[in-house]
Amino acid sequence: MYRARNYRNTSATRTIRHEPIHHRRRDNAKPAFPLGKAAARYKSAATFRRSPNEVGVNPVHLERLLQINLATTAVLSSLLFGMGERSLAAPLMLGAATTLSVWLTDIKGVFRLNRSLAGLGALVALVLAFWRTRGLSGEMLLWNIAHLLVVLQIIMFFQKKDDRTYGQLAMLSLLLAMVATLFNQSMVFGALLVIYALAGLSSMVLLFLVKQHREFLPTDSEADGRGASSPFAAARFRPSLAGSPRSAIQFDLIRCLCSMAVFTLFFSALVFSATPRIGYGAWRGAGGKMRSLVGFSDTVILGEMGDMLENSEVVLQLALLDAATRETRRVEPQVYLRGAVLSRYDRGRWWAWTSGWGDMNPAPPLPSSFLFEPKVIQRIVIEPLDRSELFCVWPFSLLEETSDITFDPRTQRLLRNEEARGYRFEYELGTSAFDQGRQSVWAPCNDLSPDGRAERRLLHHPPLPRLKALAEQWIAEADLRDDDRAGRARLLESRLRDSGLFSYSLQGQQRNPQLDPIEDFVSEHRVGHCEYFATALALMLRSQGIPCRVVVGYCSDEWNEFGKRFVVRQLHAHSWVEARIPPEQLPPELIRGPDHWQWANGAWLRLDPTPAAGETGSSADGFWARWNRWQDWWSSYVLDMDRRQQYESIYEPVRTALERWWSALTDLDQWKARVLRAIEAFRAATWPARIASATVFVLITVGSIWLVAGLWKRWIGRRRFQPHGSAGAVRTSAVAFFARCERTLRKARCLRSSAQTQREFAADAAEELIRRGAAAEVRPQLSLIAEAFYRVRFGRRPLDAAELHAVELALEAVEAEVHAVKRARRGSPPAVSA
Amino acid sequence: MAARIRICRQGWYYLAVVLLIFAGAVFRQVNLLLILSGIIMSPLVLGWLLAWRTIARLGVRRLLPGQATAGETLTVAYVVSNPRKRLGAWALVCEDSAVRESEPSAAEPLRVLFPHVGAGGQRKGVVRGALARRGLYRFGPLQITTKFPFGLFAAQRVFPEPQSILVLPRLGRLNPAWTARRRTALAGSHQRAVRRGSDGDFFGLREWNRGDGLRRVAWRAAAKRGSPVVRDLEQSHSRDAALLLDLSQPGGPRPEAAALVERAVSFAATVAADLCRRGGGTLWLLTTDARFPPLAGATSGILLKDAMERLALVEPSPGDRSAAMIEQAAASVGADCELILITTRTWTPETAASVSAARAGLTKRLLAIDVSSEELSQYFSYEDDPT
Repeated sequence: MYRARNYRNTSATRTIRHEPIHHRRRDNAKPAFPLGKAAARYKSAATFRRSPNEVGVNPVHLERLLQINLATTAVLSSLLFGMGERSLAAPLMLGAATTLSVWLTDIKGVFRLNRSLAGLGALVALVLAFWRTRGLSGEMLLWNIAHLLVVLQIIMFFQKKDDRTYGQLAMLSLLLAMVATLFNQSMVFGALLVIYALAGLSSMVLLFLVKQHREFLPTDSEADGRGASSPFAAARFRPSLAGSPRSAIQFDLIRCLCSMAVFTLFFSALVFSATPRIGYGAWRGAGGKMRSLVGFSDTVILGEMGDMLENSEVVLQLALLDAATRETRRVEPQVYLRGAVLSRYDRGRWWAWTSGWGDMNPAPPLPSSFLFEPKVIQRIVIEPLDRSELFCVWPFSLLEETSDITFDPRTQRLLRNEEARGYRFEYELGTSAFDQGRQSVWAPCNDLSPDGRAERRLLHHPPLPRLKALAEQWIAEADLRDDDRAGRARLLESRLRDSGLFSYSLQGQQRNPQLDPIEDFVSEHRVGHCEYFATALALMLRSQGIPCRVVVGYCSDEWNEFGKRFVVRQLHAHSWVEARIPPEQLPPELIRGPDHWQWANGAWLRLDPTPAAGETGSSADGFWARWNRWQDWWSSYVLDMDRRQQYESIYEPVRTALERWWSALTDLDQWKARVLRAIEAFRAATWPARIASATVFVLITVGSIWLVAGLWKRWIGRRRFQPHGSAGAVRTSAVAFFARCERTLRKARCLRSSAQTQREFAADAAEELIRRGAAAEVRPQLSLIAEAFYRVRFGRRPLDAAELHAVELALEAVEAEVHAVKRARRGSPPAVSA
Repeated sequence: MAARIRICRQGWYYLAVVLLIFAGAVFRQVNLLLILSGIIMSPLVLGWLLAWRTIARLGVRRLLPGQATAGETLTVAYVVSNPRKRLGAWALVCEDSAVRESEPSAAEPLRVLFPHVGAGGQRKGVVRGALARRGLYRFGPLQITTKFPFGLFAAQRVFPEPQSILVLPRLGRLNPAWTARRRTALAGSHQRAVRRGSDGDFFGLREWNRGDGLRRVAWRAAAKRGSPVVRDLEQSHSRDAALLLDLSQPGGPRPEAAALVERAVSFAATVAADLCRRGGGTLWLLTTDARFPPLAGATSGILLKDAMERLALVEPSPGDRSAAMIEQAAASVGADCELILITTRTWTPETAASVSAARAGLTKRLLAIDVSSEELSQYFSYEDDPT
């Protein structure tokens, strides 16, 4: 209870008493000489309450928060690293260490490494790390450095911490996060990085607050009074705290932290977008080199594998650009990218067989398909892979000479050189495969020797009576002519795919070892994956005298809306069939088209007998679809943000938009046209519409003027009125103090009615408070406040500093009384309005 | 005054780390590292922005008491107001300084930390301390600084806010030996007995004035009139006293003598307070400080207030002005006036040899107290002196 009567004889009273002490003992309530009424009131008010900040408050809660926050930050950084390392060892170790250190070292204080021991431990860790990293480079070196950072953090967490230790821990954590960014590129990592950033921000704020408060805490000597010296020594004022350190941690701070977090996200996005990229091909992670191709091979062995696992790793990305405008095109529904051509089959095994050109010496010239004028450019970015094959849509044409790409006519494969396998490789090729937004099933046949030997090889097949019988049965049922190769091929394709006799599965199947795998597939176990379907179709076609081959590559329908390109993953690996159709059997629209010369040697008809991949349920909807879309976004706009991508997705759109806006704003013709259109529309409108539009126009105009005037007035007002100066401060506080008094009294349910003057209200409120048990001193305090109000409000005389002090003290006294009354009468019925 | 903002030492270190990471991210084209460098770059921008915005509209004012006493607790309050509607202010350091006007080179810093001032609110912080020496102290300028939120930037605003406070001399305790010593001195000079409780003969009634003691109030007469009246008494000459404060330092001001000067002034203030409390006489106060004329009046609170203010400002004189002071006292005081000379030097009758022969008898009734001697400790001590 802060009561005046209880604190009359405190030291605060003695500060303004001027009689010798032995006299004071007899008459210790009265000063030796009068100080004036106001001063006496101030003095009695000053005795009301001790300031809570008289002694320093240990900011232990603030520091505890910092310790927990730093521990969280450290664990998050180790988790980031663990994601790249694909091991939970570091996060688990650091998590356990930080938990133990917070409990044992910081809270209980039972285990603390002294500075020498911690330094020794750090030195040993450094020496060991140096020993281990001798001769290492690249990823291994980075991994070892990261492990060293983890160990150093663990050691430091068990130290007794001061500001320096906290700073070092924060820096180690940041370095670990930095190393982690080199090992992981996933979207989850990015999300965790954002969380880490927020935790780091709060750690920095808390670290600053702890340091700041520590400066204002009394030293040990000050706390126990040893700092006192002779009475005539220099003046002594101890730095003090205006409130508990805990008062800094409020909802207000959390709100501020949230705002800072939002700003940080926007700012980092701005830095990321605006920083110019200096080269093509962004870094894709230290651990992401030389991926192994699991779905593609230049040799197909049926039944070689058991269950096939779908791997979602990205192999390449394909963007299709208009050759004239370089604008991105989208095609439906999917694209087929050829990798290798397999033409030789024996006992369940396909491999490449040199085509007709392969028998010729010297090396064959470039196929004529390389020479056509491309309509579409295929821009392909392929990941670092363990194979040299490059994939593309056929037919392709080289746009420029390059030493990085070679074409092997024997195997009909496009290859990159050995060096280019080690990094993301980007290449552009022309193509004429797309027509009306779809990839054509036809491709010019320019890769067979004209003497027919190569074609004859494409008819080779082992004796497979069951397969042949089935093919003949289907053809007989359809009653197709023998010279209709394309028709028969399509019939067999559709029967395999759509008849329902065969089903698609990635699971390994039991096969009859006595039979050729494809005979077994056709006759006994009609379940298999794309290689079985392609093989069955190819051998059926050959059994019917139609030359064909199996093509392995990728077929992707995954369109990345953000990057405007197809994403090709390992799971998109596919096999299909190409049947050779002679020129005389080609559709007339090909023969009569502008590029008819391409079809002089016939064409390859693409046949895909595999049932739709959707039946497998691999591309699920719902969450995973959304997840994939986010992955696409992450990949397109974050990981693959190189110079070109930045130009296309950021610089160019921003520049265009700015130009458009500027033009719209500054082009007088456009404004004139707008006004004329508006006038025309007004004239053409009916009268009610005219009135309505005129009203809206007037309202908008007036509103705009009012808004601009308000902003202008506010701006001018801010410039003219400086509330920070002494006079300003006095004025502000003088007007405000009575409002504060009213607010205080409102807590005691003393409300001023509209008929009451301030003086009457003060008197009534004083009586009411006294009636409820407040000290009688509240009456002069309230009276002082009311008089000061009249003087300022109606007398237009500002209070000087001493008077302001007196009012301040009186307000504090009134607040103390109100609190005392509230505490004493808690739960009592509401009082009558004063 | 406009806010000033500067980058702190930690800010420079942090900037170096940020630039290092940023350069690594740009040259190695590591996009995630670029994001990380953007994230750690934002505290630099936020630090600058928030420090500047926090400090820009803050108001601060100082609340000083009208007077203070040397060596006793002085409470200086600072009120920081944050007129912003949304943005709170954290970690505000309010710095002030108190400078003794006669020693402008020695400034005493006052610092208070405001952990938080909410939006649209104000907060009061109090610094407690003691000004060891009396005199006129000048406060200001006020500086308010914040390094929130990260300690990377420091934003500062300076408010001139000049304000002064008069620090009165420190009061001590007069020991019973002092009363005995005075009696002895008085007995030697004149035989008029000091009758306790007698204030002289009744002269008449008059309106109550400021400074009149309660004992003089004529309660019945006041009740009849409805306003306070006091009995006016014929002045008793036996209580007349002259305090002569000799702070002469003929060799010029000496730093080592500062404590002696303060002790002398403090003793004089304590004696004056004692005399004024007793009342019933006239008090003269003369000092060797040529700036101030003699102060005289009926012993009362008002006189004591004036005397205290005088004693608060009195300074040692460079030459020897003690003889002139005694000469002045001789010209002013009555023959039966008690003379108390307080000096920082060893006083002998020869010291006053220059006093004119006509006033030579004055020195005989002079009670001289040399504050540099051990004698003073018998009469006067501070509350916190070791006994």
